Amino acid sequence: MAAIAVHQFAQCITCHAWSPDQSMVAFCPNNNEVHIYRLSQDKWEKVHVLQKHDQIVSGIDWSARSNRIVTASHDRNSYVWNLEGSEWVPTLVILRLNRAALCVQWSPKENKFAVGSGAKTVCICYYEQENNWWVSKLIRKRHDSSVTGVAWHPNNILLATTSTDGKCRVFSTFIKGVDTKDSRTGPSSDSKFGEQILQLDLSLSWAFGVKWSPSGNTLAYVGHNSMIYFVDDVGPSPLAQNVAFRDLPLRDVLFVSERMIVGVGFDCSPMVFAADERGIWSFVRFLGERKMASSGSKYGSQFSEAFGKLYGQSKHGVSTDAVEPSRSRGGVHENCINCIVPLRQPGISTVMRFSTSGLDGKVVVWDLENQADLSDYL
Amino acid sequence: MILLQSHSRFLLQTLLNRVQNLEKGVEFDNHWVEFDDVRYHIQVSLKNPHILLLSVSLPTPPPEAIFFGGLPSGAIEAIKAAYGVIVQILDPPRDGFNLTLKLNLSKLPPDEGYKHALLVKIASIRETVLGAPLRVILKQLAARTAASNMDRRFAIVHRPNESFFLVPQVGKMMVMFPMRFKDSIDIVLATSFLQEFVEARRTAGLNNAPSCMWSPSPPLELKGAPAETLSANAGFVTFVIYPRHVEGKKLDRTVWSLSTFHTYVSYHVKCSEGFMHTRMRRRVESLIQALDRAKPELEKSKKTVLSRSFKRMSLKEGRINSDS
Amino acid sequence: MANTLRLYLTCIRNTLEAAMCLQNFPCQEVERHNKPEVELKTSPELLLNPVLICRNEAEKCLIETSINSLRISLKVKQADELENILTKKFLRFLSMRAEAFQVLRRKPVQGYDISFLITNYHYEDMQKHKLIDFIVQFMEDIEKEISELKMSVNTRGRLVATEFLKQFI
Repeated sequence: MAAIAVHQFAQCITCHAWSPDQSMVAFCPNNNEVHIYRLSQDKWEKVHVLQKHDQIVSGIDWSARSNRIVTASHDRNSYVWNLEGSEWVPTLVILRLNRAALCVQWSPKENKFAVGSGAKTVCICYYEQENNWWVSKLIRKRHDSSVTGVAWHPNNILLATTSTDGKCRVFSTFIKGVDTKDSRTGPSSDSKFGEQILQLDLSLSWAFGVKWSPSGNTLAYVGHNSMIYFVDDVGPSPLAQNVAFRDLPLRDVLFVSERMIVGVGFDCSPMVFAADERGIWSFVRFLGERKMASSGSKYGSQFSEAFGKLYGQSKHGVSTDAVEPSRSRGGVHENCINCIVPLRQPGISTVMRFSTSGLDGKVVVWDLENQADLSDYL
Repeated sequence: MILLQSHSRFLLQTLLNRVQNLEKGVEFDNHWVEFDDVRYHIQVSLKNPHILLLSVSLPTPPPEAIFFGGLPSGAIEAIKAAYGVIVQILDPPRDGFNLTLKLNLSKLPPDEGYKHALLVKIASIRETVLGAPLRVILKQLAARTAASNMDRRFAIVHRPNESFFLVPQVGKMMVMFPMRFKDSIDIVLATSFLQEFVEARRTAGLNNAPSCMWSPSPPLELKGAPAETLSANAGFVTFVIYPRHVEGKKLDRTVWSLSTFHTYVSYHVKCSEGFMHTRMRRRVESLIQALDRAKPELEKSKKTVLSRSFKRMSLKEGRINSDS
Repeated sequence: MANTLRLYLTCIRNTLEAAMCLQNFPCQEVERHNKPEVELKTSPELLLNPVLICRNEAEKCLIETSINSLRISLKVKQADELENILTKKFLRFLSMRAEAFQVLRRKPVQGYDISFLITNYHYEDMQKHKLIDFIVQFMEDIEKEISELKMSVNTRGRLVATEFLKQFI
């Protein structure tokens, strides 16, 4: 079984992130707070509530080495939270936004973070030692609609974005004094801050969930028209593949390895896509038995079906005659999954474990061990 | 109650009550209104407990229906014939009323059955007064002596400022109702009801009933009538009455049925709307339940109820079933 | 007849299944606002192409989708004056109880008899498949209710007429 743990933390979760040692999880229960739970003796208990935002928190990222949490909210602000003693102390980041912040991610070196916004801009934030504050530099141009996703290239310079204008773009975020010349490699070798390296116009609908492969050689993002896009050779002459699938659109993706990706979204079950030896990507299967007959996860919906009958659904016999009522999907998640986060082992680039959260308020941990048919791609 | 009763229920009760306690002196002054704007006033004084003053106000007649001395033609004669010695007509009537009767309850016949019948007849005063002209004309039809009236048009008031029409023809009588309703829903429902009258008449069991026609435009017989009487938003109904419908005892019932036809239809239209509301309320409840089923919290609470006690669950189930 | 209804409803069900993919999405135009984009229509790129499903000329269903909200508008068959008035009455009755229905729009979209507005908040609170069940049941119920009401009016009319005419025999 791929799902190894299911935690019902809230009624609805907008996003979540793990502490570096994965003993704690931070999530937003669909309001202006961030709750932090810690696993102690097989039980999750609430240890912190971060209250500073005054609107829904749309993004959380927990840096692996510096143990800092960055949050972004529809209230147009971001906070960087540092653990001092037993308290999380917030530092307001002046994003200089006049619309909601939608997503946030630490750069690989953790000296910068990027915020995508409803103001059709991206903020690159870095720490100014001399002033002891976080400075936000805006990439104002280019985006024609809200920025729904940001992803850092492993080189700490390139940033990929997706937005509701359907485009995926790659920018340079080189900041003098923060980034060093030697970190510039490949296509970004001589680009200035905010320079657009690439614009991909593949999707006919809104684009979400952009990610780089572990090596940074492949870029993937999804479109709301039930498509997933893979781009190699990011630069002046990129190579793109479009993969369409039959099911409802995805919201986010995660590179498990160079050749395998897991997508999550409105279909409520993670979908596995993989590249064959020639590098051609295709849909492999759903993760988490979707239409199985009997298993723990199905239990709930069978139960509710029986309840439906008990509580007078039978009196709507005529309606069931006319049109089959829709069924719940019978996966682990009962509603749209909107967040997928890796659970990395130090020093290993392949992600064997990851977690998903969604509108049903569950955080589910998945393990790819013992998935014989997938092991080739890991 | 499907058919309308000809007597005023309240009036009958009051009369019976008085008659039973004739010796007890009471002061009594009551005023009430019934359908088609017929108003009643009843007064008993402590001094003369066996004397009862009954005043009736009738709907205002439209110009085409003529009243004589504030009453429909033939009303005085009809009152005298119906009530005899126990009733005296006061002239002028009480202010604001068309007719005031002085009832002498001590002159009621001693026989209980006959007494009761007479009291019912008094309680049916509106039928006696408003139905008087119709009764006269239908009597002529029954006696087949209507030759002089042939193809004249009679207007008889039945609602405030509205009348229906009688056109005598050889051996029969055309009775025509312009049907008007205020509310758009009433109009539609009444129209479909009126078409059912036509349909119902065609069934085998009702072969002998008056034939019935409905048309959205005025029938030919009303040609030449004032324009305002010929506008009817629910169309025109025509009944053809033959002598067999007014023979002997049938006359009273026919007079009553025809003079309250509009009220009868309107009463059932309103009943129908009440019924619709009850149904819709129930349907709305079942739809709200369907929407509530989409909320997962509800399901969870049900689940805990089940695991805790079967008794509570069965109660809840019972409630939901009875709601539906 | 029943068969075409089934096809019609199945088509609506499948379209809703695909269309009801909503997410929390703040307003791009007004600071700190979060409003159904399908109602505001201020950012054309946040709207999808509307889908119109017709059973026949008189009965149709318009599904308009945006990134955070979905509008379903129904036109109900009204073959005659009586059906027209019954439909109007029933739908007005429902609209007055919009509070209890949450997803019911107080005023129907122009040209339609009744509209639903489903936002990402409903999508978060309710189970999608049951929400769709509700819409479909609603459509079936309206159809059933109108024809049953119509029948009851006719039946009552016949009874009333028969009783009246019986008096003359």
